[in-house]
Amino acid sequence: MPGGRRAVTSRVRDDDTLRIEWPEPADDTEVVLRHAETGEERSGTDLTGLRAGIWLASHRGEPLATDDPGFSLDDLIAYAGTPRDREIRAFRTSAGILALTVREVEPYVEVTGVVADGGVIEVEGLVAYGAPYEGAARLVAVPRKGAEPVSGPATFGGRRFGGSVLIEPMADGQARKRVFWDLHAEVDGVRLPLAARLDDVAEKKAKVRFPAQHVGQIRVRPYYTDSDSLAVALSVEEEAA
Amino acid sequence: MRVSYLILNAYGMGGTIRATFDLATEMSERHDVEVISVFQHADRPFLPLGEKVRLRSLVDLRPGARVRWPYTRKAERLSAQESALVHPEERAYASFTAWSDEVLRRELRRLRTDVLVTTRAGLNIMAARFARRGVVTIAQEHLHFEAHKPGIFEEIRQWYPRLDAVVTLTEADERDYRAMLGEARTRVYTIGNGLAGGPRPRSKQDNRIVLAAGRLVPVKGYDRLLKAFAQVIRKRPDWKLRIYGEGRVADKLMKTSVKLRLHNNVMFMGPTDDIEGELAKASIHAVSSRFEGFGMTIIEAFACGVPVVSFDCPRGPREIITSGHDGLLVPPDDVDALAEGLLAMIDDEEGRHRMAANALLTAEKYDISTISDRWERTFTDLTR
Repeated sequence: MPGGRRAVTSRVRDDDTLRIEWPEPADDTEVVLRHAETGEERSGTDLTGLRAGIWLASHRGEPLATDDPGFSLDDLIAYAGTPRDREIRAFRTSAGILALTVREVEPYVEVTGVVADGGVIEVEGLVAYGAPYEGAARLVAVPRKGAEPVSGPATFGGRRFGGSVLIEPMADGQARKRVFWDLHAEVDGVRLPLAARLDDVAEKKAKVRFPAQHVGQIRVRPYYTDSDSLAVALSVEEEAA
Repeated sequence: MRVSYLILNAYGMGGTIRATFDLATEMSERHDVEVISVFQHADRPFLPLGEKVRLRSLVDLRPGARVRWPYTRKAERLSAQESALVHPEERAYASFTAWSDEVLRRELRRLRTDVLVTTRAGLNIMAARFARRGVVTIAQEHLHFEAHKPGIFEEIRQWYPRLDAVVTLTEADERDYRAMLGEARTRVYTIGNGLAGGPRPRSKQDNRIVLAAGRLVPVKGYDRLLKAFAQVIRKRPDWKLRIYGEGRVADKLMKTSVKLRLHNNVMFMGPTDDIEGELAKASIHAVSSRFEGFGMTIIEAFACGVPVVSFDCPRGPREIITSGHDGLLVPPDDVDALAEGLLAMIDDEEGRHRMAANALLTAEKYDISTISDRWERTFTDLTR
């Protein structure tokens, strides 16, 4: 069990500095971050330029214990409102120590809602790590094999994205038993993936099940991929025995 | 003093195992403590157990495990036969075999210990029947009095009077056991489960997340929680429900969730080894059980500063939660009432913060050191 003082709050600010609140005043310059993989060390709370990976925090030579789970969905959504290519998140290890995870990121649309009913798939989301945009766009479904992409109308209103795509054209002429389609928001020829990555839940594939729709014998069901991107599986259903 | 805890399977996960391990760990500071697991299916226990506690098992179920000569053939033969000593209505009956009967009986007849604590009806009855004279036998009720079916209840009524004590988790159970035991010498004590010491993460009440945790089995009532949550999101669509645990109704619950179109709001998180870390990310803990012998997750939620909305089901919740103070109790089996309770907790942000602060204080009453002091007094009482 880590001894010494315990942080009450430990979060990453929008400007990539570490905000630590202690029960009483303390000197944050005594915080040292250690890169788990390489052992590289960094003092202080300025996090700019940290290399990708996990960083473990210590304070005055002791592991920096924290009571803060480090997760706030609202804060993470706000943080992702700034275009950036590196994301830094604070978290609490299961042993109760403050750690940071640093990842390279590219702009995408964070999915906030999916409707899979009435012959369409509708997606709402927010631009994450990219610039906001105003105006018409497309929701594009791109098959991993075979057919041509299918798209439907969409709009951007700043960070907000909303779009839909009909499932019937996706199912038309499907010859394979199963075809997977990746979903993107497309504007000016640029495609942003649709994914759900800010909610601190990895491997959503097994945790969320979307409703299935049918086009003839083909079952159409959205799902989250191994990287928590939104995709759609079109599977030919066997005749009931 | 030598203290032995007898448990069905110390290598799995669940409330009884956790409570037994935490208590054994705490008691091992002052006593010679061992945990005897009837079955062993893994090399190491899933949950943490103190270094001073000895752990051993009686029946090794790991692949390739062999019973030593001269019992090898007998073990093979008896392992294929059903238990004759354990009542078929014991909830874990399927785990027991004629071989476990043999091994358990032998163990109890030769076990030299000062205090033997058994942790479920089937084992309590075995202790009453076969423990040596001079061993103080204490039976724990980790479910609740009314949870037993008539057949096994008859055995409980027949054999428990031979025990030195029955320890219940709730006062309601204590009353029922006292009434059942009548003139018998068996004493009855209420001692809740204790919460292991040490620092915990704390919810800042800044996520719109309701958490539920427990095995995905019918008694936990998650089907009703899903229906209630469907009502909640009609009014508060930005709230999410995260259900932790695994179990045999997982697929059924997912289908219900699809039917109710909850895919944007409900996640089936699977098991976690850091439930406190996950609780601290949530703002409300929901308990939808049909019964809760105690409700350890309620105490854990409290200790992380998370107020609880619970069905007022038998028997634990109402003895732990003070409705309006550290949580809300709603009429049992009433889906609408559960939805209203959740919405009331969601919408009263100030009240929620107040209840979160009170919850932290309530949790202190269940600190393992307080609980182990009560066990200590009980041991003294019984060994005098």
